[in-house]
Amino acid sequence: MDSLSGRKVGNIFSSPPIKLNWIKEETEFYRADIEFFGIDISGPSYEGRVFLNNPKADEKTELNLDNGYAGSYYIFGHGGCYGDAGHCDIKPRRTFDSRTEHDLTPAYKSMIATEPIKKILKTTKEIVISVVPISARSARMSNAKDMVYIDKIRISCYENYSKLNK
Amino acid sequence: MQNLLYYLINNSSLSSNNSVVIIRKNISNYLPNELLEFRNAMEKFMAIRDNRGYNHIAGFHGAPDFYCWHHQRNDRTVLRARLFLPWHRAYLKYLEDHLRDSNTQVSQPWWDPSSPLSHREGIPKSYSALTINRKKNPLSSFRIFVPRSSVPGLPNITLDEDSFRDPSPPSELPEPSIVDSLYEEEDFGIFSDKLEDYHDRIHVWCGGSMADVITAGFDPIFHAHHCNIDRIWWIWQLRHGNSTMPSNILDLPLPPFNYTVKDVLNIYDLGYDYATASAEVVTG
Repeated sequence: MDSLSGRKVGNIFSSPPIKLNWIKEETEFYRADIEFFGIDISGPSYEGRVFLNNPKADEKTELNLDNGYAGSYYIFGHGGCYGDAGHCDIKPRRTFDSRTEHDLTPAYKSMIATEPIKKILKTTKEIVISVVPISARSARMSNAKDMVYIDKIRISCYENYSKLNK
Repeated sequence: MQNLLYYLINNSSLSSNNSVVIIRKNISNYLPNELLEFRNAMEKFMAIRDNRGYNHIAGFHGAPDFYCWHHQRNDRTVLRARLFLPWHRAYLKYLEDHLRDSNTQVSQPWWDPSSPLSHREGIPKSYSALTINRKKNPLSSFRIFVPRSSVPGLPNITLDEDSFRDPSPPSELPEPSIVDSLYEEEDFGIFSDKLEDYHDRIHVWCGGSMADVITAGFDPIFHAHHCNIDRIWWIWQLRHGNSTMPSNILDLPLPPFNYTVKDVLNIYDLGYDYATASAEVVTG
């Protein structure tokens, strides 16, 4: 079992089922990616442990393939707002606005999860992704419960082009 | 790995004064006298409270200025710009230029958190020791001071605190194989995102001030950590070149520094190099 070493656990995020019906029996792929779009970075820094089709996964779940563990992503969070009212409101820039986008613009993360996805596909074509967030120690908002907010998750499988070209 | 000598031989346009470079070395190989000189320079740098000082320049990253660039953001266009690596290279260079005002013999060290030594001791002892010779170790923490006027109806958010760390066990630091796999990536975008995730992991591992964007830049270990990230990028550049970097980001500025992305691609043009260790002697 993985030690938490004093790190705090937030509310576990669960996605709606992602349907991979386009995968046919004869479909071959050499790599599968999970992409996370629009991750909120305004809160605490945390490790997001990603599990596939394991609704019971929590901070005590061992990080292995049998438990659907696909990997972890890490967020270097702002740790709350340091500013006056409106400082951390993300507003789109206007035309001819010379500033870069707001520094709390949500983040993108991706991970290669070929083996975990291949394993799941042997039994089902629906994948539910759970993220177990574990905060950094003694960060400003490390006691926060709602650490994870994600706009969209995408799973993509890639053919082996070198094989196709032969 | 190709090195400065290789560059000098193969770049005839390089002017001779550019060959005087700063060597950033692995902190674990610092000799006692080198460490003493570095600490003394940091102490002087930290004591300056105006715009030449550590407090001011460290504040470019998080509070109060928030210039730092993380993840993929848009730069006024639909372009998803990955400026994480170029921005932090410019930041380190600017900070180092000011650090060297008191002693041109010093440079910033790099810390490899995936090394066997780090897996045994975690934060390097040169940074974690609270005192050295009964004096406060300037590498252990820094007094952050970012004053704010009181705003009615809002909490007082003045930062007036010592930076601190609360690291996880050393065994939870990433393995060297993760860095090895980064070097295998051929596309700059994928490499940059993966290296940033590795970087995020170290911030999470360090805990305390390092775990918040607001305060991380004030912790002296921040810069040793980022020199290592910059070093990994440089080694990757030597292996893969810059051809996969989108051409439309090359002229983007890196505020508040006087650099564009293009300006920071070659560290030799910035006057520094990375080495495990080095020594020199004056002979004439």
